Amino acid sequence: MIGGAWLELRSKVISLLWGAGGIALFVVFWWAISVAIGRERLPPPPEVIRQLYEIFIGSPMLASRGGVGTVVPHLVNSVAKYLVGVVVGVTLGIGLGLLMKCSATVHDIVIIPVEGIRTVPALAFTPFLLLWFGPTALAVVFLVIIYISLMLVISTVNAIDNVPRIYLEFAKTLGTTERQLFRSVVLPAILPELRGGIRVAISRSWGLVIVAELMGSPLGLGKALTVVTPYFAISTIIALIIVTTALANITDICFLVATRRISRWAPQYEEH
Amino acid sequence: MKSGVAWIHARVSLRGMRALKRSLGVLLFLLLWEVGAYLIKLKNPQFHSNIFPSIAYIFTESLTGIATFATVDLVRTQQSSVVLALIVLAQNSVVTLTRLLGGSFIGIGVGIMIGIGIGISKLFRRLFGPLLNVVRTVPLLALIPLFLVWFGGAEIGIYLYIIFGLAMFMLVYTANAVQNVQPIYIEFAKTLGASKGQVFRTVILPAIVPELAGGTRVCLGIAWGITLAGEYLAAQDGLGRILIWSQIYMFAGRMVIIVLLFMMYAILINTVVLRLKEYAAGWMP
Repeated sequence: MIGGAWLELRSKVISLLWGAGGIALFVVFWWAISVAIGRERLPPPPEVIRQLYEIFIGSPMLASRGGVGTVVPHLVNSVAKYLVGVVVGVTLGIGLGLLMKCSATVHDIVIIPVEGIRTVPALAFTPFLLLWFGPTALAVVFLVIIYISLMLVISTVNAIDNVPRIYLEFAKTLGTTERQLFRSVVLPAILPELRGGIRVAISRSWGLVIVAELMGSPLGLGKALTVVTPYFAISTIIALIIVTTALANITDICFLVATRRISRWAPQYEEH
Repeated sequence: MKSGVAWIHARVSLRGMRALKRSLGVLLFLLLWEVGAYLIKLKNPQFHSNIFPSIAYIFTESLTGIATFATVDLVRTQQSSVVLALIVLAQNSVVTLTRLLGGSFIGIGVGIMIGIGIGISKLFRRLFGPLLNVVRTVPLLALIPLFLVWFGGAEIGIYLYIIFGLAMFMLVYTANAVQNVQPIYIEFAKTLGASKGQVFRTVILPAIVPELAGGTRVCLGIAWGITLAGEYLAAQDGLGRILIWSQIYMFAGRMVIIVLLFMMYAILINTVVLRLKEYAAGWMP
């Protein structure tokens, strides 16, 4: 290897080792506390790993109280709700944001209800949705849609406001029409900023899905949590949380990879 | 129609016009609400007030309905339902807001301290950076069952949850802010002979205040959601609990009142934080 590449590799390996050291310290710490305060209060790492394995192959505990035997149907169900909510929410949010910027009238009419509703945490709407749609998947999906659209409307409006004027004026000196301006300057210019906003919104939506399912849903990871909680099966709860975290990370990475092309043109550095 | 609008445009100032459109937005919303309530009334004559009450109903029946959440001794002292309801709202507001603000204060404080530690110390960063990155990705709301099992519905559980969540967030934010301090400031101070402690106190700390203020605003937003989630699932009192029990017994009007209160409090708190930020970060050009 050339000298530079070797040094780079070496430093990467070193930081990896440091990081692994930190994680190892954490696991040891966890084990120590588990031994200290008892297995019922904090299960040791091996037990959690065992539960992680069991919930996938079949666990009687999950099957009781109206649940299903493994976590897989719950998982699929939650992911489905999440994806539907995210796709509709993102489309709605960006669409409404663009509309607001296209027409000042729409902007002025819609801005106060939108800002007003935004002051309230999304969770405050969950009881309403549960009341109107019952403990069904629809309530969860609607919650995600409402949250994401509200977030993205403001995000989009802000992003459009932040387009550097020089871009617009330069394009105008070349004689673009309003339409062309929008399509070839404004839209590409807002994509990197929007990307960040969407990323944040969709990662926080996972929490909303889980809580909404906790509060009432026949199927889903949140439902699995409600099945397991009365047994005080902390290891299983932790295992389910790990599954949820993994899902959140997977969707995040998928989104980042899929939209990587968007930020290519932007001159500013991209925080991954 | 178009010439009519132009006529109005010509005679009303631009600011007046925008104010008109803005209030139109609110009125439109209220109108749509009434229409919705009416439609539901047609469709479900028996329970319509429970599912989608009209605005008049909300401010009369639902308001007094909140009085049912009063404690026994309180009921003995008051005759008027409206006053009772207001007292109930006030009491529970205090409970919820204390949780929110108390937990936020501690959580943000802890987060800032650890964040500064991580931002300054390279050793800390290398050792715990990746670990924190992993822990950070855990959806906060998914941890509720864990805290529920650990602490039951106890107050300390709710507080620890808020503190944990906010500390995690503020930690990363602060570490970032510390690392983003323009190196030129630090180097300049060092050329004047400042010690490490002095650099920290007089350069780094003031420099990160604006970013921290922004982070605090976001944190408070998150804290609302967290406090609510905690109250939904575990609490014995507080506005979130009223919200959830009203939903169980299907009293939508009461739920609306609680949500309106949330709006009010959120706007209030936001304004206060903005004022504080202007005061503390006034030195920035």
